[in-house]
Amino acid sequence: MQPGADGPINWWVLVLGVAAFAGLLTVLSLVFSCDFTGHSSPGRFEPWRGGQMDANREVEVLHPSYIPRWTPDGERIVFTVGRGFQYGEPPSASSLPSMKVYLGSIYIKGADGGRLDRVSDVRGPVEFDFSLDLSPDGSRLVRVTSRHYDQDHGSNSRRNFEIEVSSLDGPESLRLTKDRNHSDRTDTYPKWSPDGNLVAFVKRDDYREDVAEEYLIDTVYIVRADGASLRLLYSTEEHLRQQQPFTPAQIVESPVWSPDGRRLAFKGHYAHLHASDRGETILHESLYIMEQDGSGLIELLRADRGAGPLVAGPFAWSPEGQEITFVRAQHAPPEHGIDLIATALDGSESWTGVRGG
Amino acid sequence: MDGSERRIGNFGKDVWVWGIANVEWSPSGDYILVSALASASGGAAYAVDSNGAGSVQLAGLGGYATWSPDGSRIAVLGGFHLPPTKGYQSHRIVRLSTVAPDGSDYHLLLEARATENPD
Repeated sequence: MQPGADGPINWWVLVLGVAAFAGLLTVLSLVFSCDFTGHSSPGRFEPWRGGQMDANREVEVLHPSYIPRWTPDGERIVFTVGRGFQYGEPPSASSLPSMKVYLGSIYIKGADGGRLDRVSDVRGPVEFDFSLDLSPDGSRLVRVTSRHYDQDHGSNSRRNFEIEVSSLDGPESLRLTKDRNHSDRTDTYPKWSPDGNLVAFVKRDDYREDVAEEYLIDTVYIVRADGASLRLLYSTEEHLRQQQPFTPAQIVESPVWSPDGRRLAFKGHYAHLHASDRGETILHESLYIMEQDGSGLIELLRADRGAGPLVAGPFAWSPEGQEITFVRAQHAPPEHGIDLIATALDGSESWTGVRGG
Repeated sequence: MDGSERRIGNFGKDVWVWGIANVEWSPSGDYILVSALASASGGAAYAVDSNGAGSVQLAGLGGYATWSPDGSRIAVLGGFHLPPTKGYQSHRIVRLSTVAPDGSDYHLLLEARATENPD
């Protein structure tokens, strides 16, 4: 072979190799990149990129937020990741209004490790989606969103958390709540009914000064998934007015549908609120059950202050709806362990006259 | 009020838990998934026999866990703190993983990291 005779061939190999490599990179970036950076590697994404940074932050926390949901076919997982500046704990409905959250988005990931898509159209720094629930047929999401902050109240207003239903794979969305004149209201804990026709949620009227100096008014509602037939099931205000001695506040959490969709269970705790630090002293905690129309309210469990905490975190109905399963809260040393308890519903007496109207 | 209670299980004595992320029955009704949050490790998840016959800790997993529709997998969205080491800043890490209910066949689906105090 003559010296230099293969030079042009090597150049063609080099050019083709570079082109092939560039093409491969393009394909990989399309497959694995996320919306914010375009530089993610497989199995890794960077949801904190983008949005406005806070120069005064002390600690930046990237947190998982809320329970992921599988699509009914088991092929995809819907989840939320938020980026905030707080405080050692993931957000809760009560902490979010005072929390500087800059990004929080809903994503879908293939359960086999496949494609990652972002569902939320959040633009930061004031838009944030959280507390998602997937409809039983997997076609729709219900979520809490702060995206209506600006259009409702102007840029100097507080966030206004509203509940939206949207299609999982399409652009359609429907706002279920609309508190235009009440920027301090938080709508949260949305949960689909087992038949997918209704959404239960909690409306928190934050610090209404016309009621007391520091006061929370929580209410439980259901609404049809098309936004019609909003119905108040339970009002802490009505409930509290009937109790002696009068307790200054009650916070409601986590309405959970029974498997047959006929009843709802929820947690509440009565607390003194401290205006200086927005902290609270819990007086007692209770677990309630009521019918889907708000009748037949039962206080299934109750723990007074000093008697020990009651229910830690979420709880679940048993598959037949005869028991409530929960972890007994405790702040004991770890050697005490986690107690998983089931409480039967049989024999409970219902309270009357505590409906919100 | 009704005082009829039964204790299904006691577990997790090796983890300092500060919160419960989820309690969820398996689709078959045989197990109850309990996922817990802990500051250092991110937490722990347990598949507990609903008749009280014991529990399985899903090794290395904690956070927000949920059953797949057929009960064959568990998805876990967890976060934990990676302390600083020489030459590296501390990180906050979030992972989405799946695992079989007996703790085997772990799959990491994705991971996100954020640097803390990035001055």
